Amino acid sequence: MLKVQGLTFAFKNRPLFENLSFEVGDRSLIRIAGANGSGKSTLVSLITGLISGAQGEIIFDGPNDYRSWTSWIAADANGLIPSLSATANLEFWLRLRGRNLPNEVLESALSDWGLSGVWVQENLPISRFSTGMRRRLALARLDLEASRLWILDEPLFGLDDAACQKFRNNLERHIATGGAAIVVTHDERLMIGLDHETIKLGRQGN
Amino acid sequence: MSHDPSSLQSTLIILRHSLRIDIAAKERLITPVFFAAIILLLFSFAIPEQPPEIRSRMMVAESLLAIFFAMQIALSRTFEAERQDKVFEHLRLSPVDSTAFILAKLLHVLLVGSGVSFFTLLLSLILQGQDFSLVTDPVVLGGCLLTLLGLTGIGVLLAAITLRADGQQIIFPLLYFPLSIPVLLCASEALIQWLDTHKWDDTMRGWATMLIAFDAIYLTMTLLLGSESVDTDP
Repeated sequence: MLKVQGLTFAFKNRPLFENLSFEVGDRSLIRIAGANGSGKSTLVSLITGLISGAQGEIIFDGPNDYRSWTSWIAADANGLIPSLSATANLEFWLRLRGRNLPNEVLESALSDWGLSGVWVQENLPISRFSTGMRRRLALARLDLEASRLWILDEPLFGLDDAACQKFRNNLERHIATGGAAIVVTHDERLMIGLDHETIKLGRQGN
Repeated sequence: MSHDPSSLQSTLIILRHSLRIDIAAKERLITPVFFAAIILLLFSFAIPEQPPEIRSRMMVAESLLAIFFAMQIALSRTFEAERQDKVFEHLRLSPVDSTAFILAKLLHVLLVGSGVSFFTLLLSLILQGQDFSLVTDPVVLGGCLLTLLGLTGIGVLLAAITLRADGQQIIFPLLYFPLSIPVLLCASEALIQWLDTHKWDDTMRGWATMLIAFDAIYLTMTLLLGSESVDTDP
């Protein structure tokens, strides 16, 4: 699905990682760990293609445009339009992936993530949502996108215990059904009991 | 299994979505209209009664000025929604052709600008006591549309280029003002010529051709460079 070969990247002459290689196949779960500032989010940005400038290769092996079968969640943002409702946001992002899902499916996915009721789903602009509610909405979108590869940077940010558990169950199901995921997380509880590989990034030259 | 939408479908999805954001945050539509109305009212109060031939020239000048500034407000907010919460980054990681994205933004600004321009023209006709049939004059409407195309073309390009710039609010008008002057000059000369003579003569043809040429250059640049700047690293 994804092959990273000999990846080397420096930010303002400060090496973040050197000669990093790993593979992500079906049913793979990769955890990226490391101290603050070790380059975890930068690595995710390089993999997704949001930034370039690294030496080495990032090869996506799959049909068509890799963006069709990968989903991304950032650490500090959810990619949601604040003035629109939860269903309007879901509808927009899913249509861009060619998924024209009926309203009942959107409402059901939102309810699964604890975002129930017409007021929350259709009337309230998400600028009025709490941090945790926005993250839940981003994770509901992740479920509905049905991508093969998840690239997630601190997916548990802002979530309560129940939502963390739900995400963990979803991640387990995603891997069990042939999907793959790269997850940046400081929270080791997420990975307990899940078969995974850890890539630990450390400060170079320290 | 879903299929990625075609470029045309992506354009329509983003256009519909941009209009939805405008409707949700109504001030995005109201502010340019309100601004244009204030400019026209100020002109009509500040300048005393003029002979008819001057009044038609006044109408052209104040209408273009009002449209120009109203468009500046609309254009500077073109990518406002995308600048928040990493929406733009999510768009880059969706299977969307960047040209479709820029085209959708062009059409969106053009639609909003058409509404603002029509209102401006109508109000200007009332305040300058002009004949209402001008609203249905194809040359006047065509001139306004060509002006709008030129302003939209260069405006969306600059908005895309400055999308990820820290000082976007300062850089955008600094570039937009000088680059829109050729469009405004050609448009005002062509429209004044038409209102004075109502003849499609060589002078009129010359200004109109220049206006079309600037539109073509700006729109081509926007579709080529705009999508390029969207794809490039910050």
